[in-house]
Amino acid sequence: MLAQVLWNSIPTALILAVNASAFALIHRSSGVFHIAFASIWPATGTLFIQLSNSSLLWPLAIPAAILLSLALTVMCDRLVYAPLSMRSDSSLAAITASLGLHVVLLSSVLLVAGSETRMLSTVALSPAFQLSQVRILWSQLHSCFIVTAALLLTALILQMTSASMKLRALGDDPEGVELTGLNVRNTRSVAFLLAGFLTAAGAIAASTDAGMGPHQGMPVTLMAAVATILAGDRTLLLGASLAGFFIGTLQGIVAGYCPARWQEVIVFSTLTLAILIKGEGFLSAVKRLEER
Amino acid sequence: MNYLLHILVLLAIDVPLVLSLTLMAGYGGSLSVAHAAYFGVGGYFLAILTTRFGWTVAAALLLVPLTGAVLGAATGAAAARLRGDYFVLYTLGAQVLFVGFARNMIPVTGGPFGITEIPRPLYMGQPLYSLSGFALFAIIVALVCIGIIVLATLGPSGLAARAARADPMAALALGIAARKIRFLVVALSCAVAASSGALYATYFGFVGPDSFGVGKSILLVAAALLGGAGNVQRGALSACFVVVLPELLRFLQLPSQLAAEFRSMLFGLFLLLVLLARPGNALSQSRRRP
Repeated sequence: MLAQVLWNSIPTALILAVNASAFALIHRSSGVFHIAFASIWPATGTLFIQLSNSSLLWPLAIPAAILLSLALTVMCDRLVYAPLSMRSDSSLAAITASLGLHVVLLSSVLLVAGSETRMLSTVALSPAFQLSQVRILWSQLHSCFIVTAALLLTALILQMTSASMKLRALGDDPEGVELTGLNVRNTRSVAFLLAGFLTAAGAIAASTDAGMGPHQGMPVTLMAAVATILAGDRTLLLGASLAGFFIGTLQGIVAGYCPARWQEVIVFSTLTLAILIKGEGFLSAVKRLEER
Repeated sequence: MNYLLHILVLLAIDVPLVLSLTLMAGYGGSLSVAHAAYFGVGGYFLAILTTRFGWTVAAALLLVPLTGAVLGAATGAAAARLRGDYFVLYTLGAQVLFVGFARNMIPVTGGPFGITEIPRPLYMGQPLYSLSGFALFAIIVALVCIGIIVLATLGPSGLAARAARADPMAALALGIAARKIRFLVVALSCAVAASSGALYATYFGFVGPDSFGVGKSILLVAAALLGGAGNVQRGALSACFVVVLPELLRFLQLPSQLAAEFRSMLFGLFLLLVLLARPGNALSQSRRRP
């Protein structure tokens, strides 16, 4: 029983890890809590499922889902976050604007695609095999593969290029970065593009594993926010993905032993407690009072 | 005529509610995304006291603001600890938690089906079923709430709250206890929101988790910012707009589901436009150029 519960929690944990990485990448480089993620994520998943279930358009499912996620994420920055940031508006204005964006995008998704949860037509027929006492579905393996590949690819891009350094510098001191002659808007866009790619990977993996509904985005986003807060600001990807994996595993174990209806309550109690106890992050460097 | 009275009751519920958030954002410096939850706490509390314990609406209405204030005190304590965006995230979590509890604590809240048959207030020993009578009652409750908010924003207390919001360190140097003021403003705001919730519950006779969700909170934020956080007159006007707009959309004769989404989209767009187009918005902390 425990082994099966642990295995079932792994796809959930990996999906949360990739979502948390996307969320943290944006927060760490631009200071924005990207709540609009809560509507981009289901929009991407819904498009992926719609196209995958189509007999003609299924080869376009993955590229179209990635393109939609990239376009919406970068659009959020270019049209809303960047203008607010250029006006030196507070982070409070950015998170409030992000809530507005979420409402607009979610309403658009509901108008276009309706409110029902969609599943891949192949999920019900997903073959399974037995490994010792654990039953493993191929759809779970697909999800794990998609998410791990996306995370590794993003980490590789950040490692092999100077993007990681630039994004961290941008997060620490945007005005200083501007003075060095770096194009701040384009550098921000790199962060949003990478986050859009990770969002698409998470949405595709979640759709492959358990389907997607338009209202699933908010709990996922808030959990990604918890992971981002827990991870603090020392790393771009690693801290958030580890924190996301930890919370996802916890969530999977809770789902295995507690009634599913209490799952959300337990996770959000963790969120509020985490923010109250350690609002600046558990893995953050200690800052002087005037730096906070 | 009945339709106009119905709109009047809705205004009596929503104007103090929006003003309470305006007070919290403009004078407390804290933008809550859990205001629908405080509104809901008031509604549920009145529903439980009247339907399970046999209290009269008037007696429950006296206790509801206290419950709101106690809950608000917990939020106020968080507001004193957390900075802007972290406080928003905290309240967003609290909002989702409230809906989770309302939906799952079936013996107390009735779960997804909510609580029905909430009584109306009594007048001369008889329930106040006439719409004109209830409208008068709602207006009196709303005026009391608005009066408390206006009093809090006027005079030395209002000035102290403004100073504490604008520059807590400078306010502290002047002997103003910035944290305490912020705490009190949040508690007062939540008490008013809970009273509006109680009025809602007794008017509609029903409370359920879907009436107090994140969407309602975001709508309230949009309304509060539309008027400019901290501005009571414009806050009241934007609350009127929030009530009247869905009624105007009725004339387009859209299907109900489509109309709801269309309305949400409009409010989201308003929120974005307010933030992007109004540099003097109360949320902005524009820096002075050297």
